[in-house]
Amino acid sequence: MRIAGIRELRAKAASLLGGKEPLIVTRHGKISGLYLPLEDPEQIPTDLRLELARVLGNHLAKTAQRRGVTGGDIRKDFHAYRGSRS
Amino acid sequence: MRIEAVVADANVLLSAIVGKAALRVMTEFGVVVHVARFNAEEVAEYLPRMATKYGLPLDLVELQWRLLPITVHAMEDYEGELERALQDLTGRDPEDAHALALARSLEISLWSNDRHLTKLGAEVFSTARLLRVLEAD
Repeated sequence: MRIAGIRELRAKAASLLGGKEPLIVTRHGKISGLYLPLEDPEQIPTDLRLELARVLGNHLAKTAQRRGVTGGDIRKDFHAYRGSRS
Repeated sequence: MRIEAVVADANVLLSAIVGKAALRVMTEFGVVVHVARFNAEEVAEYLPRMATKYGLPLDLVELQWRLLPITVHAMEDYEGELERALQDLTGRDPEDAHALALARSLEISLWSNDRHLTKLGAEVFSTARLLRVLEAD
């Protein structure tokens, strides 16, 4: 986790936003935001990572439910997929 | 009964990506979820097909897969148990032998909803039973 002020962020955006670490952005010495790269989840603090997984999982579950997809559908299709590989 | 770690099969991993119940095991109870790399790789390979077939956004599905807190094991970690597991699963999905062999090797329970993995020497928890035990703890 790194910290950078707005001025530093403007000047070094490419390098600051190109890394794998989360970045806390400050403005006039106060925290104004958080930039969270998602390329390497291992770098995300555990609690935040689990919360992201929970929120995203609920979103995907609702999307699947809206489309009428059940766990049984996916299990069957995965079984078929395995069969097609072997 | 305190459950601190389990070995997950491929199907429960898929359930954790698009289902709420399996995901709760990982996000609410701090259970360490071990996975054979073989099974992790087949799940990763299947995701584009699943997303396309069921109209799910692939970028979000793949992000969720990467967010899941799992510990992946190379075959070297369980190869001593693999042959016996393959024999035990003759006529069934041989891919599940990797999860069974890892569970035996780590001497922990298997997390699977497949009934054909029961009565093979490793304790098997379905998602529903696992949540019941974790909630009661």
